[in-house]
Amino acid sequence: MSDQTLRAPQTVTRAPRARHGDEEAYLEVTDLHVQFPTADGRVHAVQGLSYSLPLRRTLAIVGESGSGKSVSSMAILGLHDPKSTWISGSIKVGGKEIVGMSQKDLMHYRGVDAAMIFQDPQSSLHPYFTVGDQIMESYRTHNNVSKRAAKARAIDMLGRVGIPNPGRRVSQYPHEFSGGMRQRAMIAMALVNDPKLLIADEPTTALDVTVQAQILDLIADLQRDFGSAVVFITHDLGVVAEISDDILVMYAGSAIEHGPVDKILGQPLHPYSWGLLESIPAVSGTPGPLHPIPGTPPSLLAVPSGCPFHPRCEYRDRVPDDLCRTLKPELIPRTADTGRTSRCHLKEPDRIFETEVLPRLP
Amino acid sequence: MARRFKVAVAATAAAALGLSGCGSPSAKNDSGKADTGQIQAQQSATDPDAKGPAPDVAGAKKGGTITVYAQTTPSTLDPTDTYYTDSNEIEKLTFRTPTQYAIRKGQPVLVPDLTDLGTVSSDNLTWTFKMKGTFKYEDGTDVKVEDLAYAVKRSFAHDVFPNGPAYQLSYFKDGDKYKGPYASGDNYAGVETQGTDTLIIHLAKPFSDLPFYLTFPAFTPIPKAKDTKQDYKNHPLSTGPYMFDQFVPGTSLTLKKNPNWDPATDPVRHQYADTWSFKWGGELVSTQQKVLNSAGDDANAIQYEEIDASLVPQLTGEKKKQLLTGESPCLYVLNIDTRKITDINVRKAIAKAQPWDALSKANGNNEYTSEPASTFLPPGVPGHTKYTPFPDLTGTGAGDPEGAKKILTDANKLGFEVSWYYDNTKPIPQQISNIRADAMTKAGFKVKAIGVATADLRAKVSDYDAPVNLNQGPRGWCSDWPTGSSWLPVMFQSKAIDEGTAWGFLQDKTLDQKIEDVAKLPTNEATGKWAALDQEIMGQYVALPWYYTKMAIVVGSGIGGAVGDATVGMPFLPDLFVSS
Amino acid sequence: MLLYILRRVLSAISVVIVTVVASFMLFFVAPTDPAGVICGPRCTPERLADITRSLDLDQPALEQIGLYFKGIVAGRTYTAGGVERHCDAPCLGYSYVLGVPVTDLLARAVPVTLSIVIGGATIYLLVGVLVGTTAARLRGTSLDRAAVGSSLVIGSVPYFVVALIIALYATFLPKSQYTSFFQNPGAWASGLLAAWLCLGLTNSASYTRYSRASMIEAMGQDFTRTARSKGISERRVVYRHGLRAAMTPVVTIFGIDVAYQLVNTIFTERIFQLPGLGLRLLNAFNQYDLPVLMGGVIVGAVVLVTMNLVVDILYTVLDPRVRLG
Repeated sequence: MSDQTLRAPQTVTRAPRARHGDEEAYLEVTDLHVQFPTADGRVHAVQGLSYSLPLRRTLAIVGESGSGKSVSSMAILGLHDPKSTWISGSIKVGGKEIVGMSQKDLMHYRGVDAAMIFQDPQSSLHPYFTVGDQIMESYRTHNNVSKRAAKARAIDMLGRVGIPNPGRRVSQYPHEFSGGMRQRAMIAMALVNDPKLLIADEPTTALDVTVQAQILDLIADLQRDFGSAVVFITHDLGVVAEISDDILVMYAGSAIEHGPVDKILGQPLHPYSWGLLESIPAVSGTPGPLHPIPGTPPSLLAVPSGCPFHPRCEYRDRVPDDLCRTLKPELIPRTADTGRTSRCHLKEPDRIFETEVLPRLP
Repeated sequence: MARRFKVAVAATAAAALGLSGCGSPSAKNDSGKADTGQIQAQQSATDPDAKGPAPDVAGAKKGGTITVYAQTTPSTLDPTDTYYTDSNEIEKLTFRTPTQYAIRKGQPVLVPDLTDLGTVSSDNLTWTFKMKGTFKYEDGTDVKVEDLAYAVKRSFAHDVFPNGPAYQLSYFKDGDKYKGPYASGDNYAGVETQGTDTLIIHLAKPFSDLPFYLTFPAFTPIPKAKDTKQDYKNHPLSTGPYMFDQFVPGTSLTLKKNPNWDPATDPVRHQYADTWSFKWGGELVSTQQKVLNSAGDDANAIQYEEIDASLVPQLTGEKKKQLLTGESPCLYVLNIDTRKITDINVRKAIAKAQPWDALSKANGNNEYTSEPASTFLPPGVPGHTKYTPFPDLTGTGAGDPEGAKKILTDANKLGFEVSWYYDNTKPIPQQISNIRADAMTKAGFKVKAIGVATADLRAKVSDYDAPVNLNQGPRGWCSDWPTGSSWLPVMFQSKAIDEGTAWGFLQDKTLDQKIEDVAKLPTNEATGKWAALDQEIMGQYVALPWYYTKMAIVVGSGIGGAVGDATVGMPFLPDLFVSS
Repeated sequence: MLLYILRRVLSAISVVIVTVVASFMLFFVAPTDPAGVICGPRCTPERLADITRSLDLDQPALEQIGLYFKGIVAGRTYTAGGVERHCDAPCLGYSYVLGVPVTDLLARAVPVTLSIVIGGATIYLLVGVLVGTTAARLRGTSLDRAAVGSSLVIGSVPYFVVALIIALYATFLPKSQYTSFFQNPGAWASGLLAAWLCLGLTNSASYTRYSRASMIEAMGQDFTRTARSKGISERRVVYRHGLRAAMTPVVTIFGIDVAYQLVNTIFTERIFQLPGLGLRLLNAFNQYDLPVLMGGVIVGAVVLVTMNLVVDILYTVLDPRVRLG
């Protein structure tokens, strides 16, 4: 019913990608809680997150800083310090249960079944070792091969990610690469062991626009070639539209919307999502005042009671009995469409969107 | 004319005390404790018939290594260049001289070493010494009488060896003209040899103490062919029981046994220990503490500098045995310039005003290292008689400002200005100067104390034309040999002003003659007369005696045979052995 | 790189030259008369003049400096009283007090100081890094607190107190003395053990702190997280990735520190009776032996400047991002 075009002024319009997917989940997150005991109290970084992702599909996890998106993804790789993190729930990757896995098993699992690329390749690559060394390290940790073979593999991977002259580049240090090349190298490092799950934590945030597009293309191509599942963490809605199949919006540690990207972005059903769309400035059209979401995200030490968004929500009073403050909504389908879920007490959110929010969008 | 401080520089350094400059005054003990051992007066003894071997020290054992520590490094071990007491004593282990002192019952006795004690001609200007036997150097070659003569000639090369003793320059014939064998060649009228065993010395003026003077290392024989000039000090040829093994200048020296030393010819020395190991430069108090603790190897060690006051409280029980005390031929005075302070009453007032006890305390004097003085000749020098001290000249007392003021007032000299130099960069000299200044101001003097830096002090204090009238140098004096003639003629004749060794700045022709007459007498006859002169000069209040030094050093618990060498105020090294 | 080193060496030489000239000027301004010092207590004017002439002290200042530098390059001959003394290049002058060439004195003393510092520095670097990195790994535990606490205590005790205690009461340690390494390596090591322990213990405190802080920072870096995500063993992450990055600042501090130690061993040498540079210079200072002091100044300047250069070059080896020139 609604117009499916997206307000994503920073992207170049492209043909939509062919979207395939297996049905069986490769990654299954069930009721994940992650808490950090600190001197000031317990930080509830992730509260009851659940989703699943099959191979060949891309899930974008969207949210502001402090929404818990990175924390949840780090948990998938088991990268939290077991001494200072409290994790409950279940994370299954390729059938293996990650929560509670021993450090020894984690080492065998990381880089092989799942791999991660990080936001700032400048700081995420070790400055004292050559790019080739770092790729080879990852390869030789999990494969008993000679240095020469590993080097050949590294050169091969560098070529695959589109770095010209990989034979020479393999002996260079990260600081000798440009920003985009560095990120490609990191991707090469992550994929050297053919992991079926790739988690990309804001991989293009530190890059400029044209390079960003190249990286996105690269990830999409590699996904197709390797047949992997990709979790894409970002706060940039434009990027989301480009590459993902599904989208999960997080706020204050909880998922508040989940579903196919065109539906979520075309017809969001949560006041937070509405606020996100409204806050995007328009490139064309008449200029008007910016419309940010009032207030600030809550501290994860003291997550608001009931719905985590309720202190900032403009529509709170439409829910009777002060329910938003007292009862946390479930993440369930709120409209006739069962293929998508949202976490909000509002009745008929689709109608509110059509009639009140959409006209306001530039 | 000699000063024999253990320290090379800064004449004001208190030779009797350790030199770190932070010595704290010792706990004030009543002097008069019997166990500190009052200094004994002793007769100068000579024993012309003494023969080797030297009598064994009781309990002596052979073997072992003796380690010797000191903070101040001897500047040289070249015998011709040696003057200071530390090198002098060390060289008793390696160099035999024409005559030498043996220590008997704690007293030094002059005995023949390489030659007899000498006979003098009737005009007192020619001395003849005959070698008593045959002797070898460490390399097996024979000691020739020409070598003795060469050593005498070498002692005139004062440009190459500026630190050696210099009496020969004024007493020996042509001493003022001859500049040593390198510059003036071999022909020197002052010394000749006869035959294979006779050494003859020609004098410019009578020198009755010449036999004592020849104990100096400068007169050890040196073969001309082996004289490597300024390199000789790195390995001088030994005639004594020990020879150089390894020498690191300014740092360490090891001596090993000299196989060519024949004990049967040596009335003085022994060869008990196998090796000697000298180590210089270590921090004074901590090395003394190590020797006192005597743990491990340190039990066979000694530290030959004066014991620091801070260690004195540890000397109880068994540890008391580790303190070696002895005599040291030095006296400290407050020098008065009688050319500027001509009124004896003013000088008496100065004496009355001195707070000797407070000054001694500030100086860090303790009962082991010093004794208050009342005569010029220290105990240990024959001629020393403990005559009734003159008023206020006892080196003790709190000072009497009122009494002094009265004397001044009576003499119409109230407000008389007194002035002196002091080192204003070191705590102890500053304190002493302040105490003195306070006391004398209270006594009615006008005080002008001039502070100067350490580096300038020596020059200022030896400048006899400087505009001060008190405390010019030398502030202390140690005799070069134990007779009165190394004291009174040196300090009190009018020539002393030119030579820079004046006490009192006297220019009394009558006194000069009196001193000359006594100096001409043979040593034993002179002794009593020196005592009388001592008392006569003291009564003029020209230099106020403060304290005699005493030797007090720590030895390890494994060291035996320790006795003091009163001629230099050091432990007598040739008698030491390792007892465990 | 070679060009850079060449440039640095040239600038180092000019720094040393300036230092020498400056010290020379200081000694001229200083209130002592070197000839008077050598002349001794019974100085006559003639003797004083002779000594002054033989040491070229009557020449104008610039001449003297020139002669001094010429001596360093080509050797020098002194004459006094008909005797010639030849001082081989590099001639740093003649000790007034001991009458031996300064170069000989210092050449004997420098290996001792070097030995003291090498051994001591190795100990404090190893101990400091070991304890510091362990403390960083066990951060927050009681072991970490104990390590930091004890390093604080040790670091607060004045150095000479520790030295005195060890020298006087640690008699179970082998006797402190210097034997040349080339003569007897075993005796060399055992004679220096007490001094090494003293130096090592007291200085390890600060290296514990540096290492710990640096390690904590390194372990918090993004690349550590990346390394872990590759499935590398924790040990490899800590040592290959973390320690390697953490050591760069520590090693550079160490380089400068060693230079500083080389010219500051006076306490150690005095208390442990080791005849090194510090003791030699202290004696020279007490005896107004100016040529030895000058020689010491030159040695000190050369050491510091060299260590600076070494550290800078080392830094490029450690951190490939740094480029010199």
